[in-house]
Amino acid sequence: MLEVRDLVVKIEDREILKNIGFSVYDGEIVGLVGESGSGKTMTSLAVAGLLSQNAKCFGDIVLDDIRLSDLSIKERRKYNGNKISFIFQEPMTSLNPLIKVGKQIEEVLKLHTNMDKEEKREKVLDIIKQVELKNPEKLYDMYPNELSGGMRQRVVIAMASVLKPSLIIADEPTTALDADTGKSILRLIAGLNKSYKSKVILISHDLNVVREICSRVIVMKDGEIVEEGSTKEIFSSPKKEYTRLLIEAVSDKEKKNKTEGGDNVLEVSDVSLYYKEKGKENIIADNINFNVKKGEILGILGRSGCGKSTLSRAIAGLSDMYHGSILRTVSENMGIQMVFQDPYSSLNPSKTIGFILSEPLKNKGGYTKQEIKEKVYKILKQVELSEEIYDRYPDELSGGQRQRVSIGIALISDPELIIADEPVSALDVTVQSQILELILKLQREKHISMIMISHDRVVLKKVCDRVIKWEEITNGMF
Amino acid sequence: MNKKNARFIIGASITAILIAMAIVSIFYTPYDPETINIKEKFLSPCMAHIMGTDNFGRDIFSRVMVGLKDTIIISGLTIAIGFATGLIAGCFTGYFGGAVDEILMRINDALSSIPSVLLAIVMIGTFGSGTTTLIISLGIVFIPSFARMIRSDFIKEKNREYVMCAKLSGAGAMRIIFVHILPNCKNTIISSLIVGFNNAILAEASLSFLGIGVAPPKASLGAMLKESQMYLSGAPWYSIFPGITIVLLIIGLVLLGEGLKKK
Repeated sequence: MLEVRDLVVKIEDREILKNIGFSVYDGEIVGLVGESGSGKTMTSLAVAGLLSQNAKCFGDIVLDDIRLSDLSIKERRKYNGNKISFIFQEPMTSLNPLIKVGKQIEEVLKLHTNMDKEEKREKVLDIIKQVELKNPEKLYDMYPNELSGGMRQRVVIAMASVLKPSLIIADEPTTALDADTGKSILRLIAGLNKSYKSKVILISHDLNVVREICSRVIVMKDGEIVEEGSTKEIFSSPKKEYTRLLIEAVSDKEKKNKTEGGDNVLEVSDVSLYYKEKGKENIIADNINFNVKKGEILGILGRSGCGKSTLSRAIAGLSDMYHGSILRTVSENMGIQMVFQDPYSSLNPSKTIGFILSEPLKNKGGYTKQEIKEKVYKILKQVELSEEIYDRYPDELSGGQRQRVSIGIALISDPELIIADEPVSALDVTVQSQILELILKLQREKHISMIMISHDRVVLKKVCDRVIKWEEITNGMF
Repeated sequence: MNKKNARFIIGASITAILIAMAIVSIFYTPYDPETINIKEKFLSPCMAHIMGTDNFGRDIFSRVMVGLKDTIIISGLTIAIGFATGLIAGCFTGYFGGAVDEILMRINDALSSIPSVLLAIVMIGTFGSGTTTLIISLGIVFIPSFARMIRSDFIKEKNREYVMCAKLSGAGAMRIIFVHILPNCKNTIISSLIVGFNNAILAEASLSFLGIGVAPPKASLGAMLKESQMYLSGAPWYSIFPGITIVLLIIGLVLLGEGLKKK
């Protein structure tokens, strides 16, 4: 078994992890849950001995009677890949794009075993079959970029499990994948765990992922363990307030009091989106048909890369890379506004929040300085931010505050339609639910129409009056 | 962080001392830098002449002060011309792209494929020597590097979401270029200015060394190096002090630039 006792990690005298202690038994899958910055990845790196050099690590880490914490970095390295292996979040970057898939899996065998060429090849083909990939012979000679995201993650899992390690650490293994692929990956991890009797630590910010396959859950916050217990206990009767919040954020709740919506504010008919490459038009999706009614929040559900963002830009008038008709019955002048996904790049880093918020009014013209300032303060109040923020720069704000500012920018010019492109997917779950609350409040107060685009069904269900799937409105290529 | 601060402080002090020397030279120098005094020629450094005297008995310290001033003014003006033109070219080509970008960048390529000193020599040869021609020709030589740096920054920045936000806020192209994007290129601008300034100092020194920069009896650091090369073994101080001054000026600016970056 794996036992971690009194684990403390310090970076420059700041305690990143405080007294972490837990154990994982053979054949068990333990979920490590928390928001970004809670220390869950740090914990796993400490266990694997992969912390950066400026981090100091104290406490005991014992894996199968080996006291890892007493060994030097060099001694620990020989256990990596062999006894401990990792599955990372992004299968795109954890595979080397220039090496064939088969060779990459073989590399692990080369480093830790004395198998000859034939044996290695056989073993690789065998593990490719085990991770439920078809045509092992053909796949052996393919490059990572020829595979889909889900297939790549299976290859990463093959690499991680080919030596039947005692401990597998899976750090957000499904976050970069769409829902269905993610589920199948989780099932695969659970299946392998069952047949190999290894220990698995599954790290995730998403409680639903953990609920799927873990028998026990550890909830972390600010470098400490908040609560620990069996998955059933945690979900049915959480002891701590924080755990309850996390569970609430992912629970499947549908919006009450749905708005019916009036006339159409937007009609999209027979639109096809394309991008240009060397003068040639490549179609991303075609035959897109839908409309948005006045006062409603319409959700569009689609996986990443399907063309949702391109569509939102076309509707907002930021891109003319489309054919077909987009009929907007809103005023030409700033009638449509957008809220972007990443609040870190959607706010100009060299301007104060006050400047950013007053920009639409300045450009619109017809306001005195005093009026602009008053309006900005009013908007700050509406998005529930304090007035002090007026003179701050974006990098002094948290992700949630920034996204509130982004919503403020969209609101300040009194638009008739707001397009929100994954407005909460870059935020932590607890902040997510606050932003969603805000959006609902604004809908009630201002009766704006809104398109909300997301890959997350749970999020859409909570705020949207109507949800349509990308597949339903298009002949997508994906 | 501390390392950066140290660099900044050392760089800023060296630069400040040298600039102060150059400014003082406008009002006061220990001796007249251009008066010939044959009796006192080739004096080694002593109390009266701390950097010694040259082949005409002129005080080297006074000449270094004045030369420093001329070098800084010439390089400064050179950079001003190169930077202003390069900035505008870079902003527009980077932001708009398309045909204008293609044409301007090919001209840029052509300009930068000719060695800069050679190009300056050709221009001085065509339009006659003199400080003004020197400044203008060096300035033109420096346009491509600035334009390229700023253009690549603009290409990177223009696709960021805050630019789209600005477009949705109704900002026009000029406002987006100068008010929204340009301030975010601050780091590139500072470092390219300092690198450019250093190159201008060196270019001015090499042109004067080749005899086509500042004409005697006026002093510039490069011109002094040229004059002194004949007396290297007999009066080494004659070349050492102007040389050290150039090196110090450049080290000071480089440290200053490193310290300013990403703050």
